[in-house]
Amino acid sequence: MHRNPLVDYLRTYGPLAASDSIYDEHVLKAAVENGVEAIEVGSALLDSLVENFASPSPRSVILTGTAGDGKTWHCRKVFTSLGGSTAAWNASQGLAELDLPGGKRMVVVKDLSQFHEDPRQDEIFEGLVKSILGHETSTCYLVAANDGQLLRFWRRHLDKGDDVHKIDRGIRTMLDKGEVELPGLNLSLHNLSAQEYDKLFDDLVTAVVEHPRWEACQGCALYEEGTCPIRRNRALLLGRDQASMRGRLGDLIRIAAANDTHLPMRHILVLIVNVLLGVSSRSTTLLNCKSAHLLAADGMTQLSNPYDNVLGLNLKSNENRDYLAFTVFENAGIGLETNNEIDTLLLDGEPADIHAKYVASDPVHGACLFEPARVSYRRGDYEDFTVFQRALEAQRRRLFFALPAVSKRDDEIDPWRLTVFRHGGDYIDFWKAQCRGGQAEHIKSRLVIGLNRSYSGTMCDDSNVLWLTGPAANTQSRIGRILDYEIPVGQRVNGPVRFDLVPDDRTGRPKMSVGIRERFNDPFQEVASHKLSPLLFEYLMRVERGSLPGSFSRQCFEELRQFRLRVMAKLQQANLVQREDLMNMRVVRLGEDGKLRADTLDIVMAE
Amino acid sequence: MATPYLDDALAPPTEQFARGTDVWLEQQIWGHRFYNDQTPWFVVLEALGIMSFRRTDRNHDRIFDGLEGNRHERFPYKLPTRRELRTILFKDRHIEEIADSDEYGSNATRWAKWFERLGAGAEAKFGYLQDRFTSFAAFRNAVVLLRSAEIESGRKRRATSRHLAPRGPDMLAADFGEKKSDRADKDRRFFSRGGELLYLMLNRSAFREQLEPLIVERLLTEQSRWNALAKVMQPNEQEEPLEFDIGYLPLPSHKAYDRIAEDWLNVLSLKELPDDNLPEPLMRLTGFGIVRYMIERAADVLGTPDDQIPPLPLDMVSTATVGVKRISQDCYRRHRDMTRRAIEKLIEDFEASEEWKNALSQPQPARAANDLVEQRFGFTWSDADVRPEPEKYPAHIAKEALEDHDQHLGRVIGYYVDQIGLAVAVRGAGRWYAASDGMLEALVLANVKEPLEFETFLAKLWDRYGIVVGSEVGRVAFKDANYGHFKANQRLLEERLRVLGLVHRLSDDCAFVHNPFHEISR
Repeated sequence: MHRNPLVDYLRTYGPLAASDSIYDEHVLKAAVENGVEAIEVGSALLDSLVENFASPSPRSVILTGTAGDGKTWHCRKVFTSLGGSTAAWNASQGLAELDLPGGKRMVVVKDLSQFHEDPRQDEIFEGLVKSILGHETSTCYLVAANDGQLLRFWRRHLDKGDDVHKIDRGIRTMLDKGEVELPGLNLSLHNLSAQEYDKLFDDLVTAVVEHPRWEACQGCALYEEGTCPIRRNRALLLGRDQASMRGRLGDLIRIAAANDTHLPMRHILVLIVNVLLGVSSRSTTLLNCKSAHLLAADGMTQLSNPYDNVLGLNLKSNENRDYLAFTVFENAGIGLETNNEIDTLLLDGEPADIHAKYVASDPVHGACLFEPARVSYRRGDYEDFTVFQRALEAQRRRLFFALPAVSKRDDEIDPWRLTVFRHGGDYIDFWKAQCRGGQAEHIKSRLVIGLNRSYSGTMCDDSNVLWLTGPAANTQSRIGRILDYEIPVGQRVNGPVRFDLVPDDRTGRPKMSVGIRERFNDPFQEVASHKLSPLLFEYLMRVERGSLPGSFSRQCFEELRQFRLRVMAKLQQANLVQREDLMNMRVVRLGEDGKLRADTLDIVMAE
Repeated sequence: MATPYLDDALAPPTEQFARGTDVWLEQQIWGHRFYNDQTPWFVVLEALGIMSFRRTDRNHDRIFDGLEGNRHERFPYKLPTRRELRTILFKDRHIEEIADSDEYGSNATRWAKWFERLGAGAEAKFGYLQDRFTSFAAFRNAVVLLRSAEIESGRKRRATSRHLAPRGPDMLAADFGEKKSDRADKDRRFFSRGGELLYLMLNRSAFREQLEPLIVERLLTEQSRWNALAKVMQPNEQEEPLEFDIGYLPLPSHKAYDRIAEDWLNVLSLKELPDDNLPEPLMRLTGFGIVRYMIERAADVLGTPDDQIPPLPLDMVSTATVGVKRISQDCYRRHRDMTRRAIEKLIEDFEASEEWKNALSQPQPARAANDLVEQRFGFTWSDADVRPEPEKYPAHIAKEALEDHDQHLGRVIGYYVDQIGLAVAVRGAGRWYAASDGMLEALVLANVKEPLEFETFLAKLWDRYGIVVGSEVGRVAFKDANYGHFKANQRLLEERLRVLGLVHRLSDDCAFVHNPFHEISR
């Protein structure tokens, strides 16, 4: 029976509780054993790290994040890219040293937590401090440590002086704010949890599905007949459109990352491998060539359903809850959210053309899989409703990955309606368009209306101006009454202050930004910003539509309030808010045309 | 010669000691005085009034002079009555009606109508307003707006005890009653010296020099538009301000003073928080600081070492934290009882003292006893009193002191923690410590500069205030307790802080508390 060793190798990317570095070794070994090339992806970070250490005055680097982020992998690749041998890396226990091309010495700490009880910890600490403070630059460091461990490491040494305090404060600030460098410290801190995950995901999918060893399937009976479930799943992942499994998964990962939920590299691989090889209701949860043959022989290849595998539903008894890779998508509510139009499509087959194109078109997992459940439902002879429910959810999940993005604003057959991020598609578009261009301008208007409604507590329609209003007495009330400032929106603005939604310099994510300038021809300098997370985006879009969802509105409200206060503090510092001049004090009301208006108090000063 | 003050305390200014109180006992411990009818907001307002006076008065260079030698501060201060402003804002019933009415055509008519309603002499008194506003409607708008800046507006106090938010010196005012003759009655009903004590605490703290410029710049400037609005409503010439003397704060220094001062310093240093938003967290932290002061002074007198003062468990009020609630109820009760026991201890010590035994062994014990209790506690018998045997004097004095205490000072802790959002009270279950969102935010503003790890933040709250939230500190504070409940308590606190935008969790292992108004210096 034909066997492709690549499949066995891919299975090793299954779940492991081991630490980062041990996982790395395990995976390397598996590649060698199966005689296949290891899965590797390029990394822009890797390139910049190599550049740093090859330079004449390299900065020390700390790589942090959570387990599975690829910290050890990056360390190893830096080591080997700069001339170190794999053998030397494997032989070294915890610390690897290398003479750099620029003349300096590099010390690599593979995992800081390993040195917890080790006497060498103090040596590392001393050397690291000297390097970070720029006191001793002949040796530089590359350290890998989980975020919590990194902080504990510094905290343990706080009694060693003010310099240590300075470094400790700096590292906390960099970690919390996501900064890579701070003035005064000869250090770059890269949080691998904050990488561009969707690009990484895309690269990893490519590395898996376009691996050269897939050609080893030739000669297999299932390959010839085209009935191999593994190859079928692979074909699905090959698709690169936005309306493909790969495209939508990438979008979801991007949204999750923007909401601060990160999927480290190892977890992404678990996901990809599970989509490819997962199978339900059999003795094993992941296929190999042998079980694939058995499955085909039994005529049950539909049991390997990639749309169920995405949520880890093939795993036994809720084991999928243990894996971040699956809970991220579960939290998006795929399959549980829906609307009338989509359910009608599935249950009644209306509209027929859409049904033919997107539901009936899939010969294995589409309409034909659903048909028995659908017919029973229509006939009303179900004993156990949950069976039907699960079948319906499976179809909805599939549609999320199969339906195209909507072109018209109010088209309800929108795949994003199948998730909790009803406006997820808009968010992705807005991000990709870098907040500019026709479609993005529409979205921007809607966001500004959402902001104005939030700040003023009225159902206003203003989209050109951001009305920052505050409560009259300083309570935590939601209704603004006094105009703090009217900030025009956009790039071309006449006054000294402007508000805009722009991509962040470092991450590319959309953020709210207030800029001021001294004179008309000066460029605007940003004075306050706040990142537009998908959560906040969703909140503002729903508010603009007219609804006020209760569950996440409090957090968003607080974020908006803090943003307003920070902006006002900055405007006051820049003397842009005229305080003495009572004539400029205005009360904000909703006019009859649905737009906000500010009425002055008509006060004449006695002097 | 017996003295009416404790060994480590300053001598009270004579006028404080000599008049007004029946028994000068609790004052020796906590000062003259804190009072349950004065809310934490009013403590802050009274203190700011004093600071504003010192800033502008020609006799003083600075707000905080510190303590000179071992002499208690002693200076009169003046607070303006602002009667016209209060009449307009809090007594008037006509402005809105006249402004909205269709009956009157011109502005002149409306003004005239209003003066008419106010009665004789109104135009002379309030005529200046006509030049300040372009129309009666504008006047009405301004009035409605300024009314919304009132502190504790729901309380329906007398007009001369209603105050505006402290956004500038022209809004700070005296608190007094009105006698029939229209003269002010300095009854000290709501400004009952709590603010004076707060002023003295800040003045004696280690941070007063750093506080001075910040208070001037951020709380006492005329820059605020609210201040400008309040100023426009007042005549240029106003009546003489009322003069007051300063109260008594026993100890020349105490960690409670420094704690309050440090909280003020940290909050006032937040440049990214607009001035308008400073008073509220200051009020909460001040109220909390006073509560700590009351507990710690009681502990001082009782001789309780620091590590045996009952901690302050902060319950997140959920079914998962019932264990925390129970411990918190117990701790609150013990705190509350501490003040009482401190008074009892003082009398016990007196009764066991040499000077008392000496007095009793005099040839005329009653006379010696009378002299001694007068010197020591300012206590004299009124003609109506039935005098017991001299041996029974201490018990009698204790009884009087405790009765008064139970009505007033004894209620301060419970009342203040309610007012600042540090406690909940449920009928039948009593009161226990729990934090409102406003209080949580105030604690973060005062204690977090650069991002702090969550565990470090909790340790800091324990260190500075004795607050217990999670199991780490819980283990230190309580020998046996349901640590599972404390763990749940900690999770819930993190969740609440997250919703308030104050906590950022990076991973299972790492969460930061950050202060959104602290600017990172680059």
